[in-house]
Parts: sequence; C-alpha cells; structure tokens
Amino acid sequence: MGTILFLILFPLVAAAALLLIKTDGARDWMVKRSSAVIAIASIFLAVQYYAVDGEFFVLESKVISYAIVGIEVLLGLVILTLGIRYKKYLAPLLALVQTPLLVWFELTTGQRIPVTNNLYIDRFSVIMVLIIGIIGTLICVYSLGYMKEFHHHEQADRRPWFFFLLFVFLSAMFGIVTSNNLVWMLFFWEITTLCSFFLIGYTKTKESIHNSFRALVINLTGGLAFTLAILALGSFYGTLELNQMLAIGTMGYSVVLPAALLAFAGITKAAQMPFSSWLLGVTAAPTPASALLHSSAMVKAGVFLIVKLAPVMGWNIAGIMTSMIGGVTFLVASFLAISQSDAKRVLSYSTVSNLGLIVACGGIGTPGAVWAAIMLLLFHAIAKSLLFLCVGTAERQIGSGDIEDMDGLFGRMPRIAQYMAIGISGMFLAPFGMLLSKWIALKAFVDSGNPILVMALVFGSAATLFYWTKWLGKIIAIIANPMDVEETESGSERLILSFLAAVTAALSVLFPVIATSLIVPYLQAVYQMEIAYELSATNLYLMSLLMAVLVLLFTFSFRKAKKSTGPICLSDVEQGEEALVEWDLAGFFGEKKMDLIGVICCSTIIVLAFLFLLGGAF
Amino acid sequence: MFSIQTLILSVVLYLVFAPLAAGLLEGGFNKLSGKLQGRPGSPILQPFDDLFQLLKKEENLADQVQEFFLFGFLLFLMIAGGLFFAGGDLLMVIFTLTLAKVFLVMGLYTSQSRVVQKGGERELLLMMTYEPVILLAAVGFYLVNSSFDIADILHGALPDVVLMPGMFLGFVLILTMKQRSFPYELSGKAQAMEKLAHWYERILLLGLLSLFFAWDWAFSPVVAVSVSLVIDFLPLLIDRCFPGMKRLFAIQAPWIMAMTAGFANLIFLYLTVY
Repeated sequence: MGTILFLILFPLVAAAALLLIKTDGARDWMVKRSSAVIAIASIFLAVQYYAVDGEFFVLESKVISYAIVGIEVLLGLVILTLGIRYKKYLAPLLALVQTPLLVWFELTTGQRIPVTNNLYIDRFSVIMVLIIGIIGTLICVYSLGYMKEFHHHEQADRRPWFFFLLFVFLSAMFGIVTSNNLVWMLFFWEITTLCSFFLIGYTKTKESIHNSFRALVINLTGGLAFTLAILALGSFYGTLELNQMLAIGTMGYSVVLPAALLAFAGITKAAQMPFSSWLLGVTAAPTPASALLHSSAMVKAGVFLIVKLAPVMGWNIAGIMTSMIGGVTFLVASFLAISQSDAKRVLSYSTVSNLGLIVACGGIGTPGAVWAAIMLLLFHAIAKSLLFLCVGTAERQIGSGDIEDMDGLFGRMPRIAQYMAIGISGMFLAPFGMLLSKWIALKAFVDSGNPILVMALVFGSAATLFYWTKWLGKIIAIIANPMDVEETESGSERLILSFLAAVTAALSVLFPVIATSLIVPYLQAVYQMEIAYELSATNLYLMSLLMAVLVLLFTFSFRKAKKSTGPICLSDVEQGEEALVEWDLAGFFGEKKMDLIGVICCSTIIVLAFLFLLGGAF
Repeated sequence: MFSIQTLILSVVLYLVFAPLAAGLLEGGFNKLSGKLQGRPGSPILQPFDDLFQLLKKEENLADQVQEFFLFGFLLFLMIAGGLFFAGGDLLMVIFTLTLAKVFLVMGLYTSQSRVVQKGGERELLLMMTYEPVILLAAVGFYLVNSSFDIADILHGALPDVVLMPGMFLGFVLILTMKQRSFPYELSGKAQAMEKLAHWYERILLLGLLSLFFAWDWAFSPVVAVSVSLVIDFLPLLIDRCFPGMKRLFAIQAPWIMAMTAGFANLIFLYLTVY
C-alpha cells in the first residue's frame, strides 16, 4: 500500500514545488528527477503486485473523509467564481447542484455506510499505473522543451502553473485507478476534470476559454451522474465500494441503475458521442497537454471505469446503452476523421473512435471483449502519445500542423517522419498491436450477437484504414523541392520519441508476455473461470514473423534505396485531375452532417436507456 | 487438419503456379474479349511476353524507393496467399493482404508523376470500399463454421453460399469491379513486380471466392474451381451489357451491397445458425 500512497502523494509534492520554481534550470531538474522517481515507483509497484489477484487496503480515516468533503466544497467554489468571472453560468449551476448533494449525502447516509476497503490494486490497475507512470511522465519531460519554445513566441510565461497541472493530473489518475471507495474515485475524477479545464484554457484566448468551459460543463454532467450513482448505491444497496457493487451484480442482483449512471459518467469522460466535442476543443491547448489527455490521462479514466464495470454489463440496459454508444461513436468518428486535414483533429477523432471501440467492448462485457479493451487501451496510449509528440515537433519546425503540408516529410525531416510512420502503422496495420487488439475485438463483437455492432466495426475499420494510409502516403510522397529542415531536437526529446517508437513496435511482438502475465490472470480472477487465449499461438508466431520481415525490409533495403532525382513531370498534372472526379470525400462525409448523425443517434440511445430504467423503477 | 507435407506442398504450388494460372486467365480473358468485339484478340501467352519485356527494359532513372515498396507489395501478397493456401486463419490472410495493399499505395504515392499518385489514391479508395465486404464475408464464414480457420471452413456440411448469399453477392461485385483496372506507368522493374503481385492477388481472391462453394464432398473442389472461373469471366458480360457504368457507382456499389444484402444476411445468420 505504501507504493500506492507514494504514487498519489509524491506527484502532489512535485507539483507544489514546480509551482514555486521560476528558473528553467531548476524546473528541468525537478521535472526530470520527479518523472524518473514516478516511473520507477510505477515499475516497482508492478513488480510488487503483478502476481496478486487483487489486494484491498483498509486505510480507514475520518480525517481523509472530511478532507475529501472539504476539498470538494473548495473545488465547487472555484468553479463558481470562475464561472461568474467569465460569465459562463452553466458550469456553476452544475456545481451548485452536485456539491451540496454530495456533501449532504456524505454527512448523512454516507456516514452510516461502513467502508471496508478504500484502496485496492489488481492487474488491470497495474497496467494503468504503468501507462500513467511511464507514458505520462515522458510527456511531462517532453513538455519542458516544447513549452520553453512555446513561451518564446507567446505571451506571459505561465509554465509553473502548466507543470503544476501536469503533476496534479498524474496524482489524480493514480488515485482513480486504485480507489475502491467510489467517493474517493469521484474526488480524483473531479480533480482531473478541473485540471483538464485549466489545461484547455491555458492560453487564455477566447477560443480556448470557450473550449475549456464546454469541457467543464460536459465533465461536470458526468460528475453529476457519478454522484447520483453513489447516492443510488448507498441508498439502495448500502455500499460505496466498487468491488461490492460488482459482487452484488455478478451474484445475480440487478445493479443496472448505478451501472448505467457510472457508465454515463465514463462516456462523458471518454468523449463519446454526443459528448465528443470537448475532446476536439483540446487542440487549442499546447500539444503536450493534448498528448497527455489523449493517451494516458483523462479519457483513459473514462474507459477504465467502463471496463471495470464490464462484469455487470452485457445484455442489460446499461450494457446495451454502453456498447451501442461505443459502436456508433467508433463508426461516426472514423468517418469524421476522413474529412479532416489538420493533423491534431485527425488524431482527436481517431482517439474518439478508438475509445468508442473500448467502450463498446466494456459494454459487451464478456471476457474476450474485456481482453480486447485492455489491449486497445494499452496500445492506443503508446501510439497516440508518440503521434501527438511527433506532430508537436513537426508543427514547430515546418510551421504547420496540416497534413497537406506534411507532403514529403521523409525528405524534409527524416527522423520525425520515421517515428510518425511507426506511430501511424501502430494505429491500424498488421502486425502492430492495435490491429491485434481490433482482431480480438472483432471476435468479441461477432460473439456478442449484435449485428449492428458488427456492421459498425466493419465499416469503421474501412474508414480507419483510409485516413491512416492517406496520411502515411502524404509523408512519404515526393515534393518538388525537398529541403532538409530538420533541426536537432534536444537530446531528451529525441530519446522520448525513439523510445515510444521502439515500444510501439516491441510491444506488438511482446504482447503475449503481457497477456499471460497480466491480462489472462486478471480475467480469470474477475470472471472466476478458465480464460482461453484469444489469438492462437500460430497466429501470434505469424504476426511476429511479419514484424521480423518488416523490420528486415526497412533496415536493409529501405535505408539504402535511393530516390531517383529525375525531373518532375508537372505537365501531367492536368491529366491527373481528370482521373478522380469522385475524390470528394470531404463533401461525402462532411463534418457537420456526420457529427449531427452521431449526436442524434447517441443522444437517442441515452435518453431511451434512462427512460427505460426510470420506467422500470416506478 | 492437413499434414505438414501437404501444407508445404500447397504453399509451393501456389507460389509457383499462381502467376502461371493468372497469366493464362488474363490472356484468355483478353482473347475472348477481343473475339466478342469482333477483333482477332491478342495471343493467350501475350501477358507473359509483356512481363518479360518489362524485366528487360533498360532503365535510366531507376526509382529504388518505389521499387522497394512494390517489392513489399509482392512479398506480402505472396505471404497472404501462402497463408491462405496453407489453410491458415482467414482474418490473418485478410490483414496481410491489407498490409500488402498499403505497400502498393505507398509505392504509387512516392512516384514523381501526379498520374501515378492519383492511381495511388484510387487504389486506396478501392481498398476502403472492398474492406467491409471482405470482412463481412469473413464474419459470415465464422458464424457458419464457428471458426476462422480456412481448413475448417473447407469442411462444412453444406456449401456456405447457401447460407451466405448476400455476402457472396458482395464478393462477386468486388471481384468484378477489380478487373476494371486503371493502368499507371511505372519503371520496368516496378511495373513487373506490380503485375506479378496482382496475379497473385487474383488467384488469392479466386481462392476466397471458392470458399463459398467448398464443402465436405469429394468433388466439391471441382465445383468450387469451375464456379470461380465462370465468375472470373463475368466482367466480360457486364461490360458488354452496361458499357457506360459510372465510376462513382463502382465505388459506392460494394458498400451499398454490404449495407443491404450483407447486413440482411448477417441478421439471417444470427437468427439461424448462430
């Protein structure tokens, strides 16, 4: 338990220190050292607990409970003042409903409900801790260089605040993945909401403030649902503990109402439709903040909660609602990504769509689906952080984040282009991890017996294939006057990018190790049954073989290949124009149209689900 | 399951004979197409002659990067086909095929000519339109045979087409569309590799098609191969009957088919066999 507490508390100490540090040198030192400490502690925790089915910790203390209530009130007041200052009244309104409700519950019913275990750790938490503790801190270190440059061009230097937020974020994330007491989890949950609010509004432009309040409102709505779930659990089932709730549910009693409310909270946080707009607004923030929110923090808290709920999902209202929203979001967001040319927006929609896949798996709730969900979560975290950081670096050096301007990046910035190509391949192509996960997801979808989900997956995959390949094609395409504009990035920046690229490739081959040591035992403990391997050994060997062939091809053949330097025939441009009259996909999958379809579908699903639940209750 | 010897034998047979068969098919197709239009038509062995001409072509501007990607296209297609004829996992075959096609698209994108780059965009667009049809067919085979293993799919009690007519139609459609090729000029070596890879692909797709007609009966391979060959020549008729079919339609049609017939078929499978 010591390690868990350390992981929650140490980033807070580092954050406080970073708020006070004003010089570059000291900040560099502090961020790098603290990141190393957090990463090592995460690995230490993994070594401690990877062989444990699930360990619970009491940690009973009245002081902590009161402190949590106190801080919740404080957070509510912060939202209130900010809302009034910026004349945005919806967020304060939500806070005004939620905070008193929670405080009242805590001081009355909540007091009387005994909580046996406040914290816990199991293998899924271990995976999450590793993602947060390693990828999250790498992004923090990368931010050092990026933010220095960022404030070189732009207004007042507010870096102490930026790094404070990053480290508080890490602490809250560790809290979410190790809390068994749902009141505690909600507390950390709200902290991530507020941190992301400040990160999105970091630049204080009109756009970013608007985006930050939209994110706040959406996530507070989720927070309200979370609060209601706690109220329902406490009043009807007499427990506040996640493991108790899951136990009650798997024993055959219906916990569908709290499950649906918690899933709703997860859906808002994981930026599923109709709530996806807040994640798109993150692009207004500095790129490392996007990287953190998209890969290892925030949205991952949402899918984490939904995947945790998987044992009580399936063919009930909560499960159907969740899987349908995930499926529709996957499909629609994939099409939305096609119509985009801004790299960060493509990445954002791809995050939304991949999270949709994870959410759908959680909603299906079978062991196979959860297997796919955990793998997707892991591989997405790695590849997506790599891609965001690559785009951040490329944007800084070519002065544009538009994919159209990344034409021939291989000629201009060979190193970044290579990392980017690995990241992109890692997102959709055999033999990389995301594709393996999608393979397992496809089986889980088919076995779930829901034809709509199967159709969503099949068509969504086609769209995914399209936009990633197009991007990949752009960066290797040939342009008229390639110029090597690659600056030498700082040593740590290059180290981080190459590390993430290497992990993307290596984990794709090594994932059987993760499966045997973490995923299968986790599923066996949760579902209390023998879990079959989702991919046969033969297929795994074949995938590794493909990876070996790819690596050999690129190291021995591609590096040596010379590009012909012949003149570029510009004369055939006109002929080329004619060839593709139907190449008007932006019109076909227009953003407004697709977005509207997704929002309407998913809102209807949610409304129907809750109407049904309320109808059943009364 | 097959023994290891048959397994190796079938892979070797595919690697050696697929280009021969596909070349002959192409020659025959051209000949017949000429006959139907009242021309004498080119000799049946013409495609092989073309291939050798390409290999002999003198190159002054060899583009090694492009050749690299087209080599990848050829190599991964041979692997995908090999996996198929070894009775491997259907999804594994499909994913490897996708990998190969991504190499093709990359190879075309890296060209200096806009026309070839546009060809890459077209290949990519076609890939996107075929993907749902192929994946849906794989799902169908899985639901009918409770396995993605080609070896299992071959030994069903019935020819699968009986239960999967909607998915079958979609598949026929993409095979027909596929042959309306859009040529692009590459360097000799690259073009030769591209041609060879497309031959391997054609035999692989015909193999996939014949899965619909395979069941546990001694003569089922004969049925499967003959039906596949007939369907392979279908474009000839379609071009005769609908000469001015719109390109846009060619791209939309597989999706429409998958969304209607494929979806209906999927629901039918869930209601009956699953």
